[in-house]
Amino acid sequence: MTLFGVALRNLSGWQPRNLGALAGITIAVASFVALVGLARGVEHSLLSTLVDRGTDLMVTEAGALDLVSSIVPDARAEDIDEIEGVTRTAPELSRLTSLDDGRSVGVVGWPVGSFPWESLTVVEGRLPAGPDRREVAVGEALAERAGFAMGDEVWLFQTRFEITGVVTAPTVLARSLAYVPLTQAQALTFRDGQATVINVRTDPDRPDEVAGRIRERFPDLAVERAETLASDFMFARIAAVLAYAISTVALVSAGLVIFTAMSTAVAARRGEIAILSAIGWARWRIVSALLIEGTVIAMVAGVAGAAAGVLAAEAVAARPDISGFVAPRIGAALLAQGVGLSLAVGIVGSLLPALSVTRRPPAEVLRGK
Amino acid sequence: MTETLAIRARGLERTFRRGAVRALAGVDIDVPAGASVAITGPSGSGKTTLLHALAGLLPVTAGEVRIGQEVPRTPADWARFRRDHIGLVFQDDWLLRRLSAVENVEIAMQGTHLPPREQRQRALDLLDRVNARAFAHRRPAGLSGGERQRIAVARSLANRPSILLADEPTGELDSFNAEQILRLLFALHGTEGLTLMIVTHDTALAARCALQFRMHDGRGRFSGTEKTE
Repeated sequence: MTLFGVALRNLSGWQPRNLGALAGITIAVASFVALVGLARGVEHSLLSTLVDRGTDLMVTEAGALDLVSSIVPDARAEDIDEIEGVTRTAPELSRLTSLDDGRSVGVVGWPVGSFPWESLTVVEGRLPAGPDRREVAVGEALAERAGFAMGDEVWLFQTRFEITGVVTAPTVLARSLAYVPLTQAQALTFRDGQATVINVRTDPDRPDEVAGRIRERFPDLAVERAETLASDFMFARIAAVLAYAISTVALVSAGLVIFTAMSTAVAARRGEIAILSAIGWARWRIVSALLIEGTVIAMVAGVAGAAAGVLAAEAVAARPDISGFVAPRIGAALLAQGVGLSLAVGIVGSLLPALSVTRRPPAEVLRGK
Repeated sequence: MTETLAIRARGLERTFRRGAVRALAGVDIDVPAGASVAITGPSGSGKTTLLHALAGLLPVTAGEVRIGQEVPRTPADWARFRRDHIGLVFQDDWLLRRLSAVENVEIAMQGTHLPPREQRQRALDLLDRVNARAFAHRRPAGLSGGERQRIAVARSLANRPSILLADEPTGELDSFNAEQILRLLFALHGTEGLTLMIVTHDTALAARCALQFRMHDGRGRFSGTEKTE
């Protein structure tokens, strides 16, 4: 009988201590994968929604904390349009409002026919046709969540809009917004002539050069590449901090659970360990057998936990109250981290108690029975 | 004539509870190779502690144990000596519950470089020898106390030890099974030339041994006349 065979035989059957360790590690890894995946999903959704519009530069009020609180005259778009290297501009007004049922929804206003509309793909119907029309295109995630259909009426800013189309976009956040003509958004939020941001498209490979020119001409405005601006704004920073905090908490919690589960499993076997020592097993051989068992448990539980984490994250994201706002972002790297965490802590969690238990003279345990 | 010693111990001391309890208080013992020795004495006199000390299962506070010509000093030395030279039988069988009878014997051969197939064959032969071949593939939970103890004896013989140490090996058995186990141990002692040391309260069993080493308050000495074997 090989050492590996002995270890595997010890794992056979449904022993409570092994099941306890298995369940504990599975839950810990699942929590880690799900929490981190959801947090990263929130962060990624925020960043991608801005970047995927095809905007090279974003012009905002200097010193504004976030995109929604920034105020810029929409006329600046025409001024910026004249700068060399700028190919297209589009002012944008983003606001939050509530639907009939009290749930909040983000509303984005762009000039009809401006380039950001090109980032949306019409699934059904059409985009708002004119600046004076109270028409709205809703993201398909919003439509699904709120039960909207083309031709329905929806109340935004206490005003009736007609849904003329359902659109889709690369990110789940973009699919959860409502899109209206800029003039409508401005009028209904008492922000005539104002925008929160001016989207700028530049000649290819020249955004930094163009950004310099805009800054030079309008020193009271902030000009950043879209991805930089997105990550610098408060919501993105909060999401990033949350992702980091949740990852850390999940990691530490998972580590403690795994360590405790493995330690308990090893400590419960003091009698067996003592008899193996009594019949002449060297300490390293006993420790090796326990390590093999711990590694197998940690591997199985790590894989099961990673799979359970994916399912849990999807289940959380599918809850009606948050559906459409976040898509879990769980890649191979995160899954590998989950399994790796399980293995690392499982091995340490087996090794330390194994070293401790095998340090005790066998007679102490054999007499204590 | 110089007698060959299987075990020679000098000045064995072992204290517990920070010196409050002296389980061994300077025990000297010479065990001739091939002898049968009963370690007797009242409860708490240090019998089991002595046996454990002689097997290296319990480090002594002072003193030295020599096995044959060598003195094991580290836990690793002792593990190797137990594997290669000392068989152990306890009052409880201490079998691993998830392993079959034959596997319980096989695991004692771990680290001996005997190929797995030969380990299996030797384990089956040993089970045959202790009349346990019929339940070689059953787990301990399905066996009687006597059957389990026979497997434990087979395990103790796995690596052809020269010394067999038994701590109340029949303490949890009925009289029939107890007699079976004792006959087995003494037969092995007779046929294999094993040095046999048995901790016991049973005076009848002690009388079957050639030598009696009587413990009292952590001290011991051989008593009575040596019985011709």
